[in-house]
Amino acid sequence: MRNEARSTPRRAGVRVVVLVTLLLGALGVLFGMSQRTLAGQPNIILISLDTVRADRLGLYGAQRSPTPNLDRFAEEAVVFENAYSVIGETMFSHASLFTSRYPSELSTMDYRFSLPPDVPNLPQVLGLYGYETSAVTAGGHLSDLFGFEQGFDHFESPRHWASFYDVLPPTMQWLDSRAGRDPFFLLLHSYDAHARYMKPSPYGFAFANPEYRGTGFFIAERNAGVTRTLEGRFFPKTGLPELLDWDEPRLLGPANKARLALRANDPDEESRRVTRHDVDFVRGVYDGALFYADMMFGVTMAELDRRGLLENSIIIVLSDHGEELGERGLFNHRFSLNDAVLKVPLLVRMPEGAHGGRRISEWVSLLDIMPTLLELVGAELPAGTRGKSFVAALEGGSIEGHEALFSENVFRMMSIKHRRGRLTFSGVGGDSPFAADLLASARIDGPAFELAEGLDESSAELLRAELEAWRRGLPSSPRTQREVSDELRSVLQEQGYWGPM
Amino acid sequence: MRSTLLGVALALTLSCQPSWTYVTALEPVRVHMDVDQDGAVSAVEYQAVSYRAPDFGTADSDGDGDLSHTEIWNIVLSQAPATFDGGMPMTEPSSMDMSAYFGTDYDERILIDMMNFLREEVAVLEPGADLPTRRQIARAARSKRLDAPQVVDVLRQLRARHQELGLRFPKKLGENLDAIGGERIEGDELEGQADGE
Repeated sequence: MRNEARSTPRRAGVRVVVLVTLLLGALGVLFGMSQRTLAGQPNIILISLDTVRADRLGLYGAQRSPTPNLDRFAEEAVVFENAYSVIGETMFSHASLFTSRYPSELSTMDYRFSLPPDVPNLPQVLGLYGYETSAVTAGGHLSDLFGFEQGFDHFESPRHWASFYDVLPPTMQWLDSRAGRDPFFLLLHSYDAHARYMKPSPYGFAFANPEYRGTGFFIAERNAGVTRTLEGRFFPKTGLPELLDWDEPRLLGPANKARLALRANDPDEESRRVTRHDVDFVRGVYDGALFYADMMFGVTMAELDRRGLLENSIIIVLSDHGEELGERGLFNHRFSLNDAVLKVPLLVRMPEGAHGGRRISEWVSLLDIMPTLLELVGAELPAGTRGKSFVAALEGGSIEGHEALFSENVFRMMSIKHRRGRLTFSGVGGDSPFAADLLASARIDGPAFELAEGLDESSAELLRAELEAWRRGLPSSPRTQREVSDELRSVLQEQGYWGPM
Repeated sequence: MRSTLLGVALALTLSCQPSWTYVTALEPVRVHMDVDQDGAVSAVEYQAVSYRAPDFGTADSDGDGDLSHTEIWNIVLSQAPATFDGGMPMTEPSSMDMSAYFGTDYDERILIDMMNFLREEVAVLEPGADLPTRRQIARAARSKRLDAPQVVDVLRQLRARHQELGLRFPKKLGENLDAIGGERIEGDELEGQADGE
């Protein structure tokens, strides 16, 4: 009966649908996935606030909150109190976020990184399911120079190391120019809390004295000020590449500390000790940067609200990594694997603010974002992903968090965070084929391991075994280095990311 | 009954208003600046947080002695974060040593890192130990091969020092060394080979 009812035009329409489905299905086959278009799905808006350290926000307990708009947003969102990044680097963290894989699985751990085209990423998969995908990023390490345009129908970076100030207008232009009715996935990214911290008034100095001219002023003001702060000293005349011996297994190990001490005593160096007042000042300027980013976030929400997008959009606000703010004599996010660098804000506002105000204390990872979002829209999760969905938490239920969290960085470090404590291993990077063997053989009381305070050696041995098992469970690096262009090199140099490192 | 209806009407009214506006986004900075809590942001209060910003007379465009939300937004719009203070001259060195860490080829880097790692395990325990030099290690790594004679020689020296001190040497590396066999290459010869001489 049903077959008889089909009209010829309708059959033609069915053929078109079948052809389109086959075409999209073929793309899905590339990733080993099935494809289907989903009607009535929510939009997904992912706002990535670069370099925002969780404990500086009011909603995470900061006494003098520089983030009133985010604090308010937390009342409409599910707040994850213990969310962690897997690396303190914009490029690798976003690559991990979009693929739910560890950075060293994706490429060599250096700045020749490019997002591998053969690993399915979040926008690609959402595109397979009918989402229109757009990214307006703040450039730098989250730009098409590193392959991040893959999977996006529209990708734009108005300038490198940009602010909300730069990315918000094109974002709204894109929203207003959309003709289709498909749900969309939008990535919005800003470096407002990234060095250099100093932001315009009245925000930039809302938490710091604008008359202060101690060493902290120069650290906060200069583009490379934070990278030239090592061992509690600011080295105004020498770039990071020359300050350290980059072949040292541990960049802040005894040999480089001795090297820095020599430089500190060299009058020509004009190095300056970073005092408690300097640290407080820099922290104040950093909070001012958060205050600015927070205001811009509030403006973003106003623009989304004005367009009626809060009713049917999932809004995720997160940071890719935190920042050390004077701890261990550093203002940086690349030298350490600790909570200052890895613990990040994570808030998910469901359409119409459903379950808003819930707070989830279980440990979650940015690796979990992709599985969660794909489950929310009913999409299939690609094989090989490492995270696990926390959808239940967004729907009022409970979740099992991670028992252990693993991290790594480009400065040859790996770490496990466990209820017992944190164990950090350094000397070879996660992209080294020798990493697991060296992890297994090195002395637990030797230079390669750093045991968190309170972690005894027997517990450390257990964590070493877990760290080794994790490492052995990962495939070797696919090695997708690409040649470094002059443009990219100059951008990296500008931020102190290039040179010997 | 009447008060219940009024309550419902008020709730409906509030729920229909856009909850996020420019005013709500900008209000916190007004509150923050208004130190004396008199409801207005004065020139003195504005000056206390100003750095290379428009002066109060310019910012207070309607001249009422207070900064409204619109006036604050205009201050924000007038200052691009990248350039608001004229920017600072870049002071990075102009010549970069591209041959060092991340400029080094991946194959070379992982060999250097591995051999330096094993070297340091010994050096920390016995600072005066007879170990391959860092220069030797860097030269050996240029071969980019684990089974290159120069690399094998360095690894054998490192294994010997590990064994002397009772340290564990990585199992797989040890097995590789045993499988390769052969004689040790002397230091001078090693450097010459690594240089391609």
